[in-house]
Amino acid sequence: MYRSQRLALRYLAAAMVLFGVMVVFGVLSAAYYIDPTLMLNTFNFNTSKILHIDTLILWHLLGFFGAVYWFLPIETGREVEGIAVGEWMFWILCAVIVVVAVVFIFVQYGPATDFTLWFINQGRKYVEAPRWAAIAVVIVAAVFAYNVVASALKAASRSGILIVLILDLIPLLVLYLDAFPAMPNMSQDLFWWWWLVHLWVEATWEVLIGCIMAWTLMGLLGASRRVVESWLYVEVALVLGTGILGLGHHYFWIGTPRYWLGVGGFFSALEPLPLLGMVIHAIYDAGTHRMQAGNRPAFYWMLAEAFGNFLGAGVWGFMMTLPQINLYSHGTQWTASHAHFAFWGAYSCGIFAVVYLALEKRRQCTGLDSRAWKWSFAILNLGLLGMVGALLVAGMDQAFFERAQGGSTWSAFTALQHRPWYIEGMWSRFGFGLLFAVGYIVLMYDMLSIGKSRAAQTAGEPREAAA
Amino acid sequence: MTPHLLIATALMLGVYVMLAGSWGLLYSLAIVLGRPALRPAAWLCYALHLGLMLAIVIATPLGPWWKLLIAASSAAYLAIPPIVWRYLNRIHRSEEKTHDSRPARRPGRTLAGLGRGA
Repeated sequence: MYRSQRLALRYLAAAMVLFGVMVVFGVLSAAYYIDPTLMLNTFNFNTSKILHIDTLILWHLLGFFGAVYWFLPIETGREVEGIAVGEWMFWILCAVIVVVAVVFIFVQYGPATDFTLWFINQGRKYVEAPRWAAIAVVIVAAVFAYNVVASALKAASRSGILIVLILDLIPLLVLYLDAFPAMPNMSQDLFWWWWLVHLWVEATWEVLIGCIMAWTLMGLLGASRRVVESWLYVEVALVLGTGILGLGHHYFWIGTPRYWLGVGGFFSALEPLPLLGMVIHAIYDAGTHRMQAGNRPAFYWMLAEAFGNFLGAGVWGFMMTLPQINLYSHGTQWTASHAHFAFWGAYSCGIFAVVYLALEKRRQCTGLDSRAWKWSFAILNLGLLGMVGALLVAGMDQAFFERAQGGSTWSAFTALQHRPWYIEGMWSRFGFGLLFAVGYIVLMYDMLSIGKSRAAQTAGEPREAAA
Repeated sequence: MTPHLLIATALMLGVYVMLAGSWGLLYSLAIVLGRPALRPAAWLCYALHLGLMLAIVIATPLGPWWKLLIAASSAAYLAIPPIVWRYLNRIHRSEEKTHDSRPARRPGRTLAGLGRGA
């Protein structure tokens, strides 16, 4: 095993731990909707939500780094260039995450001064981490980019997947610089902030996960490189073609010119089309292998990715992307429903597939299977579907009564908190959130134990044979 | 737009994409599983999708350009499954031809003939 792959395992393990932290603060955030006075003035909802959404971004990012460090030496046929620096960066990133989390939990917020921006909280959703931490993230990402580019340059040949990945690293790094400015004009600030939030997620991350899934397909199913690369080019073109200007659906109501209604709505409406193509591709691959693969958990999580992406981003997104609907639905629990489903389908399932693929090699057994992965797969997906269903009902109730009927007034917002469908939606989301947490525990148990007994058996066989 | 029409329109748009997905799913499964009986179910899904498209065009308060876009998307949804399937088949077949001289890594696990009925 390459040093880079040992680093990848550390990144993937850290990602799974942060996934757990995200679940804990997600369940806690859900509890505030049921009892808004919970831990009032001690540990408020805003801090819990910050920890929930920031860990969401971070665990996916760590998962992506881990996946690339796993596949890169296989792709280039050599150890990753500058791996020692990469290893240091992993520990630095972990230390940064811990310090920021401690500051968020115990300090929470500060006065409106530069000191707060630099050391406590930037106050911008998803990128609340103080500036010193954001600079550290940029340095870690730059070293990661150096590892990839230098390894590719030293490799005997550079594959299409690697070239796509390298090109994607440019916006991945550059767009994060958007985490720094603090503009006093809110429209201007949001305009650029969405470049970070949307273009990262719906453009650079989509391409990144496309590259990772291409390698996963080759590692898991022995898919031909030429086939995988051909499909990757088509997919990247379609996703970028619709996703980049799909950014416009975030510009509807932030004070940008009117033409964004047309541009954003048009390109967002096209977004489900490539996602349908991905579903067809997933079925084609599943059919090629008769739904059988040595590593069953990785295979099923990969299938879940294609379907989850179509449902979460495609169906849930299309329901609320046209301006006439979005006028009432944006910023409601409806949006939260779409965000939960889309992130799960587009990225989380893919990272689980990579983790199982890495575990297979780490534990030196051909093929992985267990009962626990099936339970975790079922419980996590059921928990997620329950959550997004509950949020959808609550969100539609909110759009109906608070927005369309109540005119988005403060009194309409207050009245909504007593609406039975909204309350039941919040309770159901909390219940399914707890179920999801159980699924996480089973998933972790499975990832820690799967393949270990078979690996021990395999290790014992040569000794028995020799005896 | 009234509150009732807001929810009805949104639900119709969601089901519209869901039916397009079901059409693609059943179309592909009919080929993968070798079950032609799934073909009518796939076409039924697409017919329902078309019906819903008409309902959206006629009964919702969306603007005319959005309605036109939705109608055009229906044509795209019809074309995507067969086009993608043929494309996947073509690149797989050309790959097999390239490697014809080598023994197959996983004999019996290729879809060489699957798309011929598509």
